[in-house]
Amino acid sequence: MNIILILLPLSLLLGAIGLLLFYWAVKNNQFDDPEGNAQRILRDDLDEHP
Amino acid sequence: MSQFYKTLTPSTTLFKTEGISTNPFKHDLFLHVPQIHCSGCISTIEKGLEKLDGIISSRVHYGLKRVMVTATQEITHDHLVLRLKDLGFTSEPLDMTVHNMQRINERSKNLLLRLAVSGFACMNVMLMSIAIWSGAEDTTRQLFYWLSALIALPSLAFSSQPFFINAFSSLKKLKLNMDVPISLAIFLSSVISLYEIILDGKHAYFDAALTLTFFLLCGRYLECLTRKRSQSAAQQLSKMLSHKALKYISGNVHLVNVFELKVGDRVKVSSGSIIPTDGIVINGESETDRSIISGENVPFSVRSGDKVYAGEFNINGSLDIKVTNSQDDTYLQRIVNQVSISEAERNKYTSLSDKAAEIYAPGVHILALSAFIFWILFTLDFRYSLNISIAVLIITCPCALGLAVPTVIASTSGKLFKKGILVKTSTALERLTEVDTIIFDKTGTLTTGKLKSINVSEIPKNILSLAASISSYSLHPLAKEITRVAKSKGVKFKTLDKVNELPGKGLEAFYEGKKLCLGKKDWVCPNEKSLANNSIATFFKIDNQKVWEFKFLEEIRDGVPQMLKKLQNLNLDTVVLSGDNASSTNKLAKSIGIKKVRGGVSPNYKMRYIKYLNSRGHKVLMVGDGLNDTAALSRAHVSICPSTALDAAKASVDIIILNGKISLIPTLLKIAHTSKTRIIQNFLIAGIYNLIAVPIATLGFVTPLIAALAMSSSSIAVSLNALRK
Repeated sequence: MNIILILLPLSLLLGAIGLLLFYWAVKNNQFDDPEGNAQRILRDDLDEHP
Repeated sequence: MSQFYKTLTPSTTLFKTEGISTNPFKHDLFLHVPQIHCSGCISTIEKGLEKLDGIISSRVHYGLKRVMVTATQEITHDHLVLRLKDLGFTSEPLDMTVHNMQRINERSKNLLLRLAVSGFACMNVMLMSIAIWSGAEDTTRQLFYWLSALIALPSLAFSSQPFFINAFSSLKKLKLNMDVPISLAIFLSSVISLYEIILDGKHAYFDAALTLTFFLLCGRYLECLTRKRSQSAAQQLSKMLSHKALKYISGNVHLVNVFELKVGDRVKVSSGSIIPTDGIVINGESETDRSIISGENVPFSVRSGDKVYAGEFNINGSLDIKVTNSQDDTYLQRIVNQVSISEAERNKYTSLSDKAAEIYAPGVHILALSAFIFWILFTLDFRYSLNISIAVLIITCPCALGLAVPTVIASTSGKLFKKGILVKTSTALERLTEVDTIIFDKTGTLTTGKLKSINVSEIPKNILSLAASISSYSLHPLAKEITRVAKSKGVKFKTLDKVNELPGKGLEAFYEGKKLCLGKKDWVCPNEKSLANNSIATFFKIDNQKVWEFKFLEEIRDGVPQMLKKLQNLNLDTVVLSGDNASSTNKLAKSIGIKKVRGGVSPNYKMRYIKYLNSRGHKVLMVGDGLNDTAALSRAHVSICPSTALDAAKASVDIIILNGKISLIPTLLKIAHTSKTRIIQNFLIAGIYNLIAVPIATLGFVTPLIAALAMSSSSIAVSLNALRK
């Protein structure tokens, strides 16, 4: 059961990374305009930009 | 903040807008483009704007129908508006410093982040707590407690900031609001728990504190989401006005900005354009659409010496006008100022949740303090007593109370939205349940604002075809209706010669040598006494033959008579106040069953009438749509407008009804009552829960396990109650 000494911090670390990524996404306005982003996929004139 | 208030004063409501910049070389400009409707629009706009010199980047916000442009300092809103016009879109600049949309967005983003962090932390700490509650011993328990502390303390510091900030600002005013006990509970429990685990104790409350924070943040976030976007009425008003005018300077006409016009200037207003500012006609004859101001949609004849108002639409004749009021002093502007004042007053309403907080906050503190004192006197054990009082603080669960109202409002707003009713303010539903009088505007509210031709079937097809052919040359509402109804009957339109529109009289033309006249009775056939003159009508004559009368009636919205019956059955007083003339208003009121009627009424009268009713202790619901209602709408206890209303009206109401279904008002009232019942039920649930939980806590039976369980179950109970059909 000593493996839990590694598992616990490791899983917390992974969770924290997920949280940080979410934080970045919100700050970068990824969740701002869901309908617009849905419509953007349908554009005919796609270039490399998101 | 002070900048925000400064920009609301009259002289600065005009579009001297500026971009936002933190960089000396570029700035951000925002525009509102209501015609965005597909992915093609996104491409067209973004690509089209980026082709312009000086534009660094542009991004369309499809949901809000907005465009954000980053450009060099020399690009202004005017450049962008022109370019968008070339691309096929009408647009208007948005002054983001006045726009509080930006701030609402920021706030909801911040809440979302804090929600995410507290959610993550609470789940992880709960995981470990379950191990501890199941009987972890010694070092395992210590390890888990320390890990919990490691996760919990930073997360709490970050996520519970909204509560602490709110609590501080309330304490500064020497008042207790809901956030004070919450902040106290979170703070004290973290400190005590840390103290406990350092001393190798058995009880730590990190999980309870985190779950508390998480649920409360859920409630706050829901509240933030249901706070609908409100734009200032002043902004909306500017959309209706023209920004440029044709000014006479030494005999020649020059295009100038409207805010530059001064009293005494002479302005030319061509047919089909909007009158830029209040003035007197000095030359020309025309008909204007004064519906924005008076609510009447039958055109108004103006000639030399008549007063005209900013926002009026000049239909069919060119006018020369002498300016009597500058743009910030027009009749329109003064109404907007009144609206701002009324809106500020209305924000002082104390909602149910405020009333609950007033009792709750001091109550909780007293309970916790008395528990502490009791145990200290009983055992003289500081640590133990502190533990008990913390347990009391946590278990009195502000969560259930904090969730009671937002969950109900959110679920009710969602239900109403499916029916086509948009609730803009969170206290609107509560206020609706207190209403005892309903005042309706006539034009555009009870009626669709359109005039329907009622006797077209009596008119022979060949006559109708000629009448429609001549009416197709005019923008006059009655002419447009004749054209429309003729088209729907499949009548053939003939080409006519020498078509001439005489403002204030009618249209004349020639067909196969015969003269056709369509227009007012006094012009077409002044000598005919047999035709009655009491309904809205227009007359048609070929040469000197028989005169045909086209009769019109205002189109009443679907379901209105039945709705009024239902409202009267609910013992609500119904009144119609209209700016339209008294005879048509009386007739309409009679046809739908309202007894209290007043026609020919000014916007000021409507507002004063509501003020009068308010002083008598009545609570008024006002339903209106035009500018002439805006002042009254903001003065009423609750206000509703249809989605076809003026944007300024939409900005000042509490509820907007989409698809013109005014007949949904009784349903709306019923749902408002149900939601109030639900809120009270939720308060009861929270209350009963507290009654059971507090004695248990005071007697010392509350372990962290019980605290966490109690809190979660009460919050879930409250939320489920709010969500049930």
